[in-house]
Amino acid sequence: MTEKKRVPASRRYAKRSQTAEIWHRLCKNKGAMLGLLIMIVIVCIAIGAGFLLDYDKDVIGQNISQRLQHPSWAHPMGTDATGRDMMYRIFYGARYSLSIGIISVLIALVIGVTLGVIAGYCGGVVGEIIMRGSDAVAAIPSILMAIAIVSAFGQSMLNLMLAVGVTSVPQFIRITHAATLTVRNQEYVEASRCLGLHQWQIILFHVLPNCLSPIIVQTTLRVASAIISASSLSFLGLGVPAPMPEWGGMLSAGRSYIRTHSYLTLFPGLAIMITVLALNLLGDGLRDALDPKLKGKK
Amino acid sequence: MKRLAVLVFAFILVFGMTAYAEDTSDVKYKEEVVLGIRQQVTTLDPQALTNTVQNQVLKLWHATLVDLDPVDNVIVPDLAESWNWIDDKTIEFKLFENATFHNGEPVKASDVVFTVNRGLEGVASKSRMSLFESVEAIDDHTVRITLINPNVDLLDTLALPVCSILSEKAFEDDPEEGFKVGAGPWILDEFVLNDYMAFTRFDAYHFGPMKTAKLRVRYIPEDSSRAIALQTGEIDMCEHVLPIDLPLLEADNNIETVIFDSPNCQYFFFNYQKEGVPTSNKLVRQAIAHAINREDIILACKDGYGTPGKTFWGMNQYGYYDGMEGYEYDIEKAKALLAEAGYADGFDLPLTVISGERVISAEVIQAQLKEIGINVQINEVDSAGMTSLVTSGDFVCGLWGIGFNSCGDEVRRVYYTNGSNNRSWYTNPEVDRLIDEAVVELDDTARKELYKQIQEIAIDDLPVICLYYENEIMGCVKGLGGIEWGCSSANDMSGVYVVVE
Amino acid sequence: MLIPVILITSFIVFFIINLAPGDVVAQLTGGDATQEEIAQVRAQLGLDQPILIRYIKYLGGLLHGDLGTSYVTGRSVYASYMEKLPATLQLALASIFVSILISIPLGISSAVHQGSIRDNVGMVAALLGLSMPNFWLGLLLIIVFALNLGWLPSGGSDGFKSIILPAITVGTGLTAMLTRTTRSSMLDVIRQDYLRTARAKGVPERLVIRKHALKNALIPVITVIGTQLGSCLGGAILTETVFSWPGVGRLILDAVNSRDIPMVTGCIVLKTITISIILLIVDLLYAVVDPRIRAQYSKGGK
Repeated sequence: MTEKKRVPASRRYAKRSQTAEIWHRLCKNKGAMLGLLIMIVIVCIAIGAGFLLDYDKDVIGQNISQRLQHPSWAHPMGTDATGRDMMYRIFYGARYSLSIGIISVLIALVIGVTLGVIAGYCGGVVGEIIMRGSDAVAAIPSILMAIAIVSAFGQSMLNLMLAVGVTSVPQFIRITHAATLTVRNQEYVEASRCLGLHQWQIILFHVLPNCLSPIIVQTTLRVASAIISASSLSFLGLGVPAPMPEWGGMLSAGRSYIRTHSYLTLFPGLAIMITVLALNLLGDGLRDALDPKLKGKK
Repeated sequence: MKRLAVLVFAFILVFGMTAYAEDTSDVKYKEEVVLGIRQQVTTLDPQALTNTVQNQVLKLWHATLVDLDPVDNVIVPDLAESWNWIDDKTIEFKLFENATFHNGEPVKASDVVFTVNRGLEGVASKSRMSLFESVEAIDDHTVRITLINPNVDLLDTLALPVCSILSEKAFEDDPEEGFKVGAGPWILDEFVLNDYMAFTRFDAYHFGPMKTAKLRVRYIPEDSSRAIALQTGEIDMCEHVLPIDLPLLEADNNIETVIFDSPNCQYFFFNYQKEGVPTSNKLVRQAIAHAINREDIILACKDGYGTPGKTFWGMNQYGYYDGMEGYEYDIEKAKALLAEAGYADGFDLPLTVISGERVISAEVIQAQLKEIGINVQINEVDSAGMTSLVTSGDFVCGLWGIGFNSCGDEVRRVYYTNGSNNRSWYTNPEVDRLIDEAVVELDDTARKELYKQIQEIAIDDLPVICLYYENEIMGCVKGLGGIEWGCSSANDMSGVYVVVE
Repeated sequence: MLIPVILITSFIVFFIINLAPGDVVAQLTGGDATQEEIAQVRAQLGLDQPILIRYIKYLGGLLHGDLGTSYVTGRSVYASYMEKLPATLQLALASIFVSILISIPLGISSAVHQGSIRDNVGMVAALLGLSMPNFWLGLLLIIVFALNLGWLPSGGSDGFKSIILPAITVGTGLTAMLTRTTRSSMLDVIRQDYLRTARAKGVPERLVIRKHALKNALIPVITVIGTQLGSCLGGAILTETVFSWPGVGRLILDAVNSRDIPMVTGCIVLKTITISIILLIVDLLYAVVDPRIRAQYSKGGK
């Protein structure tokens, strides 16, 4: 193992090559490539479904006489209690499930990481306030938060994203805070402080890149669990408004049929599982690729 | 037809078992019977809250003056041995001399007086107790109730668990939780919120002790889990089996299923007093009624286990009448009515619904109304939110359910101006007058005629579209008997037993 | 330290429940009351007063250690919470145990064999639990282990056997994050110079991993365990529903649904206290496993 620790400052002048290098390393990771491939397929399905399917007819159009049909050539994934084709709904549902997962985590990421880094780097009173505030929010059950947000602003996609997102903020704060703490007192940070860099420069270029790996691990896992949180909210009747086809909502609606028509839970469940898995494989690869400590390996 | 057969079977089951059990003395009964219920018991105070689950468990350890026989729909003695009307407004009850509370005190007339006085403060009991002008103890076992107005439904009202007789002595001993003591067949040993209730047989019960020694009522919220618990033998009776699970239970040799018409009615209601919306036009409401296909709703929500309703009135409620024309499913007629009302191009209609089971109904209705150009937006809220929206009148239309009791005056709750369950804000002076007239009408035929008139007016005004009556499915372990499956809003489970082979 | 958190939390909760439409009266009257009766009950409970006044009154009680009584059950909030806490604690600890049992070995083996098939399979296995929504997994477990095999009860809280399925349901959901953290943290440590030194000294590889690497990799792992324990203590609402497990989660959920403000606020205040105690223990654990932090404590702590 030949490890070369580069001086952080030099990285700023080698931006383009760094991105290329990350991509290069990512390509070597088979798991990540598989994850990426699956995600590309799912995103294509999500986009394609918007063009190819008629929402009113294919996705929410009912046909009571065709209800609860087991999978067949006509309906490869069967039909639900009101006779809607499960395959179309799952394809179209990718749009909703993905956007809920990604946008809600982006919300949490921006808020959580900002506060976490500030708390970890500044410490003192500011850090204390942020961490106690984070504890306070973490102490409120996510379901209560969700009920409040959804009922105060109405049941809609955006509010669901907010509800799912806000509840993951404390986790991001805690993880970033912990990571920042370990980085804060490293020599190179002190060195850049001595060089007279601005606080924000130090945070942006030295502290943040060095606590990226736990944040990325968190983010990928949170996107997946945000999709699952949305399904939990559906279980409690707080999911996306009917009759939108969201995977979690479909899984939750199918649960009374789990013993007689297991495909009603199987396909939405598999859709969620595959997406979660792919996101995680991708995140895993990204983590290795982004890790500055791995640079120069192989 | 199939349903009827099952219903008959259920009764044969219940009574056959009873007869069988009485005839043979060496039959063995299971020591502890466990009942799985789907809703949570939140308070033990009969006067604080009344709902289906509360009514069901209260009957286990409390007794009322009289009881309603759910099979023949007649009033039978409970704590009162006999009663007689002195005049239109005065009734005298003779109490059983051997009736005692679980704390050993005999049930006395003074306890009845105490119960009514306490009930005047109770959230749930207030409306019932305020029917009385006075309640007096004539002697230890005779109590006289004087009414403010004549009320033909008095005995039905007194049979409700909210009118359970409480022990005065118990409240002296424990002012906070004196209601834990009752005069019913079971002694309440333990109540763990959100989990279970445990009972022991009351050996001094005035109708004789029950066959089962111990009883446990377990709260299992998830429907599938509850049905599985029945199959694994963890519970002996499973309330509210999902129709979809019925074939699985029927295939199980250890399980018998009981299906009966429940008094629960699912309905679609408009905000009758809301102005400036298309649905304030009667023709639009009628068009919607014609556009709704009830059979499809029952199929999608209950897998066919429901009875389409015509009039908004309990099927077992006094005065039920379905001879009117009603609104059969007819898209063309619906379109014509809409055009006549000036909405040929349709409009947007927000439909408020409690999230959960009813959302499927909403989705089906959404698809059906689309056929006549009405764009339904489903607005899901939770039950507290729904109640608040409806009581403040902040809605256009919605979906809800109600359980009707057996007495005719139940109509007051749903159609009387500002009635307690008048969620549609329906108001019609003529209907109000008829309701007031009917409740003091002692002649049976005349009274039924009044109720018929009310239903005919209401179906024309159409504040509420009755969708369907639920068929309740219960799963029982083989050998279970003694439960009186309810045609009132609660089953009487107090006699439950399981025969051990 | 705890007091401001409690103040903030109780205020947010009080305010939030007030924001949601509807109030407890709907639940109390069972929807079966006239307008006047509703108004009367509302006045009885003091719900007709402005929210700030109600909150200040509530705080007054809180200062005396009185968490109030539930509107719905009429019982003391403290007693209700404490009645449900043991079940929740049991489930939380059992789930964490399940999670640790799976994650640590899986994480270590993945890290040691980084990039190999074992690594990939291990990570996918760790993800399976997370990628299945709890209620689905729970129902499947019930169908297999309670209904078909008849080994375990389908629900309730009755002895050791009844905790197994709920603990697996919650625990496998926690596995992914913990395995991931163990793995990445181990990878960080494995590359450190002192491990190379240890190897160079001739310490056997197993010992290197167990003694030197694992101990140093534990901090992020403990952080994650702490956070997860905290979130478990809020109650696993879905798992509790599916297995009818009588925990805090359903108590709070039911209270929220019925807008039982004293119950919700009280439970969350108590939960905050419980979690703070847990997090404090986690912080202390840091010091136990990491001498550097221990040194910091003895230096910085006056």
